[in-house]
Amino acid sequence: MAEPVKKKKTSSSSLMPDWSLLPEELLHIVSTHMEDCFDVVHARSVCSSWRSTFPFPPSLLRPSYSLPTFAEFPSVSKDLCTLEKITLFLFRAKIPSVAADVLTSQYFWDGMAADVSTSEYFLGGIGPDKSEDHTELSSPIQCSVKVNVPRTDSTLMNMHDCQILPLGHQYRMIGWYPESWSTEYRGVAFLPLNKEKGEFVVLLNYYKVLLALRSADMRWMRVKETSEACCAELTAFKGRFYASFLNGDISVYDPYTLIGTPLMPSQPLRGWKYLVRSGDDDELFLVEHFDPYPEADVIDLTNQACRVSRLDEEADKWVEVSDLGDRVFFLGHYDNVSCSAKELPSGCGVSGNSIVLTSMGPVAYAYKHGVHTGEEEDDLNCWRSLRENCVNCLMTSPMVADGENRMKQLSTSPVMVLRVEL
Amino acid sequence: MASSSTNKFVLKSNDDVSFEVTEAVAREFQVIAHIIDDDCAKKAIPLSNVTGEILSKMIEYGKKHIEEAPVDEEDEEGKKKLQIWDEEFMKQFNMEIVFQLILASNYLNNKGLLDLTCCTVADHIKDMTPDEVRTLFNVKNDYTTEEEEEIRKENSWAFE
Repeated sequence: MAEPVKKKKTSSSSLMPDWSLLPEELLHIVSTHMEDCFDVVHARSVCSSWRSTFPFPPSLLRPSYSLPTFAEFPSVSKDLCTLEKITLFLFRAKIPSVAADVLTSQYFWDGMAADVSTSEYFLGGIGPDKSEDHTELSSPIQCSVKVNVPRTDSTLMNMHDCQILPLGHQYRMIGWYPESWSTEYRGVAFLPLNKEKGEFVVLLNYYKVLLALRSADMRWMRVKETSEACCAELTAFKGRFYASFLNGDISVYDPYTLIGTPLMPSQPLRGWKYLVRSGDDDELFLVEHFDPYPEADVIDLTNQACRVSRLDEEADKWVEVSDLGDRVFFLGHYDNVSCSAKELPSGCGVSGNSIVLTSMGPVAYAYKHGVHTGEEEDDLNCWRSLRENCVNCLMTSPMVADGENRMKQLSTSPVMVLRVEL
Repeated sequence: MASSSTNKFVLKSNDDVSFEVTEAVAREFQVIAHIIDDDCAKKAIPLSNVTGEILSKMIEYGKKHIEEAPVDEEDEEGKKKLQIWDEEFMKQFNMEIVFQLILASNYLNNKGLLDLTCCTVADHIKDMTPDEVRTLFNVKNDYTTEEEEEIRKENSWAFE
């Protein structure tokens, strides 16, 4: 048990005690009550005794792995590539004008009525700012985050002006950009096999094929195909890999045998399939984005719908759901993410039990379940866009001509900026 | 239970303030429970590290947690009620009292109050700049210029 500190002046008890004298084990109890990782980083900046008691948040550490490169596959190369684990966050600017300069100029919503009140969201991976110049920071030491958007000046936000929600994590091959048209790399998933020995297996989507690497033999090998189509999305969930393919197939892979098994919904729908992990490996969802009237002469993009299913791991099947609880899904950009909207204030443009599809163009609307469209033949038992809060998606990797008359994606900043009209 | 609600003990602070409490309340504090079990509690129990002001608050907390204790593990309503009371209870204190309460609840070994007071401190640190924390908690910035530069770097983040 800790010995209470001696009061420096017993005669004047109204003097504020020096909190740096609080016994370390008691300060440690304080630190266990701090959940937000950036609050811990702030506490570490107060004084040296706090710095040694508050451990650096593990979620902000970025474990990385040096792997043989896959660029020349099937040729074996001695070159290495780096796989890194990155934590994803959602930042909501508490003061909407914070990001105004990011969102103005050059972009497609130029001329949008300036008096529309909006709410701004930034989604993406956070890492240490590697630029040498830290002079922009205001004098008191506090956490800031820089948003680099191609072709604009970077914006520096004070973290205290933001609401920060964790979105889980993602693995990335450093230097490879899945959204770039010039690469065949389309994403990677990681599973630990044996915590004590640090063994792992990596599954890589190399456009036409899936490649796998075990840490024990450090060699890329081709995974036996389970679908005729190319892999669209790849994710790791509760010790297994899940892949969706461009033709709508879904497969699950055992990390040891790397044998894939189809895992389709009982009545699959035609359309893009999104795999969404929720929480810390808590649940896996499948969102099928489909056209309810595939036979119609004209494709009505405004009348698309979604079906959502949750993975029942024990029965190994997809179970349709009509309620996501507090969750909000952001789908389509770099990775599909889920976060709890419980902490978000009401009227901020994003609410729980909804889906925001950011891949459908610069303007989107949140999808909700059971939306009345006014058309009698429309099925109520699906998710439709509620034309309430218009979401403007700033694609931070704009398309540019690469000199050979091809369009190429600039891939310097996978941060997603959303401006939601209120 | 009948005997412990009728048995009374006197707790005496280091500035000679005495409080008569039931055995159940006294047993809320592990250290005092040991003294009672060792049968050393014939007369007043002196607590050399706690002032009367702090002890009265701790007894108020202990009483409430005896009187309003949730019926069982499943008594969500009871837990919620007590939690709301805890929050209100902590609101009345400035940081100096909170500091003394942390030390005293650690000394008398009441885990509930120790957690509550530490949680209050954590809630105060949240949403504050390190400078504001230093002012509120009377902590001196003991970093050298070089160390401060290092911290500035650690606090600079970027979307990537």
